[in-house]
Amino acid sequence: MTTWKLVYENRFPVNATTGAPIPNLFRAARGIQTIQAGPVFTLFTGLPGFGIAAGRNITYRLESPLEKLIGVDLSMEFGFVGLFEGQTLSLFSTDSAGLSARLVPTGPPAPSGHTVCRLTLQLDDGVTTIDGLRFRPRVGAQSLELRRLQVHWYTNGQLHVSLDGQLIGYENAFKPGHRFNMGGFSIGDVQQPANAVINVAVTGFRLIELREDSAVEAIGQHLNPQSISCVSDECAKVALALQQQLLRDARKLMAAFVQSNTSTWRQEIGGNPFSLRAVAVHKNANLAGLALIRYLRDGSPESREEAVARFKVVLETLAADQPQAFQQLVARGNEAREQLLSCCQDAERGLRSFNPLLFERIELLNAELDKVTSRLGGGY
Amino acid sequence: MPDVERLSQLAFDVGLDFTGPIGHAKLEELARAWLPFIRFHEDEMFHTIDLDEFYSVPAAVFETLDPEVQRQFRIIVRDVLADPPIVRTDFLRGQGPSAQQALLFGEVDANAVYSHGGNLKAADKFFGSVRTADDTPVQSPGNPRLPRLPLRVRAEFRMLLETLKQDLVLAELAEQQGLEKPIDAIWGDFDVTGLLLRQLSNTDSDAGPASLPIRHEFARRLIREEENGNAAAVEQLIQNPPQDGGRPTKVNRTVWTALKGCGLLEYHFMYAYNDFSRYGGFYTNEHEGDPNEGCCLVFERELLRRLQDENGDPVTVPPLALITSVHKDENHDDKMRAIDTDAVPADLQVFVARGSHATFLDADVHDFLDLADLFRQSDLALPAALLLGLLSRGLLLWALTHEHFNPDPDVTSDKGLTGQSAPVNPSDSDTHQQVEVVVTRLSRISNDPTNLRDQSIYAVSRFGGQALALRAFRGIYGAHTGFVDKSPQWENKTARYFVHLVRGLETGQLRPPAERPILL
Repeated sequence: MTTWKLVYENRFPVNATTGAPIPNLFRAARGIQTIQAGPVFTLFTGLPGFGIAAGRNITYRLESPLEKLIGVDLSMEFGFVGLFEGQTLSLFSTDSAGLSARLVPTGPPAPSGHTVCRLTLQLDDGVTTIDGLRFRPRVGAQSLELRRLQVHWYTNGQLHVSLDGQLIGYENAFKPGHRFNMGGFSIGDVQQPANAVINVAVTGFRLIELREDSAVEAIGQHLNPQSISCVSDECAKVALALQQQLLRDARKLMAAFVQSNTSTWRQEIGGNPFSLRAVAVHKNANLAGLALIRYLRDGSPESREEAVARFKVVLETLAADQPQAFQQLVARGNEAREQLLSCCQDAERGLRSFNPLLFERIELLNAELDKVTSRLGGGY
Repeated sequence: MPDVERLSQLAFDVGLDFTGPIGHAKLEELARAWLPFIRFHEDEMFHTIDLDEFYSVPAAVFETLDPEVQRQFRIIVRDVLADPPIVRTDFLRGQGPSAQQALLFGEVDANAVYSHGGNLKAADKFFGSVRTADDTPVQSPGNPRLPRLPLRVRAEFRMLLETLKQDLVLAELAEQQGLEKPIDAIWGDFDVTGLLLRQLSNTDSDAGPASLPIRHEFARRLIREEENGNAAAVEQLIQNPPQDGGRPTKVNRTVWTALKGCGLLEYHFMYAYNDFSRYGGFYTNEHEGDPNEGCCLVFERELLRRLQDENGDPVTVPPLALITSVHKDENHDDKMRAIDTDAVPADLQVFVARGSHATFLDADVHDFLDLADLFRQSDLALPAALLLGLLSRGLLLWALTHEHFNPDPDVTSDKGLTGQSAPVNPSDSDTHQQVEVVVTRLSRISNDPTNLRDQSIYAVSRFGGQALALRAFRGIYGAHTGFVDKSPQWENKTARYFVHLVRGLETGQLRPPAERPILL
């Protein structure tokens, strides 16, 4: 089970007879695809791609809108057939107040054939731009220069933008705490008048998302399926509300940490947007997560020790960097536990009886993490 | 599984035949000729084996262990300490060298479980690679881990028309005799009539599959006319499909084209253990027994008929398509590529992701992602929320970490071991190994030992009951000791691959299969 989930992926496979791309062969959550402005796919020399331009696009409407999204990751592979100064190209946009990506050439083509462009990314009312991107549109019989753009946003405010696998832009406080719903999205833009010239050939597209409660669902996958029977409606309601509040507080803490330990960055600035402290937390959190999964699976003391040691680094760093928010989060965790124990006693007993090994292992881990938090002044 | 003698008798009674115009001996040639090169990742610990090795290998390795080590690998089944591997239902049915014999017991059916220990440690001990190509301790690109056992792949061919016909025969028997369907892990899992005959709404739009009796009867008539070579009657049926409860119906012509024009050669890659977690990842997939991986080649019925009639060279009959199996069907992540009419076997290769054993078409990094509309609103989110509140310290941190990082991807490589059906050139012997292709006998049933064409695994008097019991086993291949047991049962993927074939034909990704010539 994965927390980030696929919304849509299209590699534009080709027709065995004609070689033309087949835009209707894709992998996606259930929905309906519409190709605006007629048959817009075309064949470029040696490389099939789906042609988009002003007025020509693919729209995908989801059967069930995705709600409470707190992360989105867009990957797009494309090549340019034409780039014209001042003419904005809408590469991608979701409906409502979601994410959009637009590109505009800011000058004429250089003698080398490259055109300098500005990429504008927007999420709700948050807007950021990346200047100085160089693309070479195809001229004559030249082969198409394929580029791969990736945009990754997470609700702690981090926005990573990469081109051809290289980070080209980073924001440390891009709409922190934001969440949004998505009913569909477009590749290309129908809002502008249709343009006869197809100037972007899309050869790959992928959109993935993270929902607010995906991580809790993932935890559920570790439980005995019969566990559901022991949780009353009332208890479930309280537990869900508390869990969501806890996670929101925790994400806020992470957002504050990100803002104080990373900086907005562009490729031309040089240097590193991430402090050594941020890099250490990132690395230790990742390794702790892996060790924790190993421990839950095999119960080995070595895995538990590694998880605790790694989490210790993370907790100590967070407590030192955001002492007030850290203490508040610990206090809220205590309160949540008290509240749940008072109204979910039967459910707790049931859950424990269906998952004795899991409880035993987590409680052993918690006992060791308690020692860490006690030392940090927020003991349970 | 049901009594093998009874299964065999049933097969005789109905004249069971999944391969139609092509016989077993020719299929063996075809399967060996066209097995794609199998490119394993250099890190791979478990390589493809055949079904009997799930039983024979742990028993043989266990025998060689010191008594003290043996104690560590015995398996407890209801307070009984058993030698690996074991087969159990509610209690122990077989263990050690005699475990496979348990498959012959009538009570050992879909409720049974096979296990060689239920954890990675046991799988490593019995099946895991123990050396690299250059005998250095650490594998690397170009210096792959080598398989512990000779590589083996199970191939099964099903001509689609015959397979559907046999499915419908079994459906009729099930109705008349109260049999369970599918009857075993081989026969009765290809009812695609729901794709063939569709109801129409008042506005002529698709209103879902026609009702079961109507579509079954229609498919039987269509197949009968096709077998009789009555093209006009077939066309008449397609143009005038039956009413269904007062509603009009429509035949999906692409489905019919695929059914009457194609056969699927499925290669089953089977692994002792899915150890994806060994390579990191928040993706929690790990389980004992990983028998449902592999790929499939789509062949044209008419070309195979000619191949058989003219005793031709299978190399001259390239497939239409190569389809690979990537994780579960509901993830819709299988891969397909069209094959050119002038292709040769050397053009085909598949790449096995380390650990998960998902099969891909290229060497790359493949993000594995569930679809956004799958697994939503899981009921288990409720107890999970409670758990998170009660035990928030570790789990809260884990949840944050878990959502922050994308899942680790499947990774395939072209710098590991290559498996091939042709003999290996001695100069490549450190990175290439020959694969034994074991072809399940699915042709017309016959007890004549001199008949190379008609051979069926169901002919137990000819091939023994053990072969049928082994392949027909419907139980679970593993008893993983983690929190959620993801060990699978055998999955017949013919219907799954068929959907890809139909989609490929509908979209033009695949060229249409050759038609039977009309005799004037």
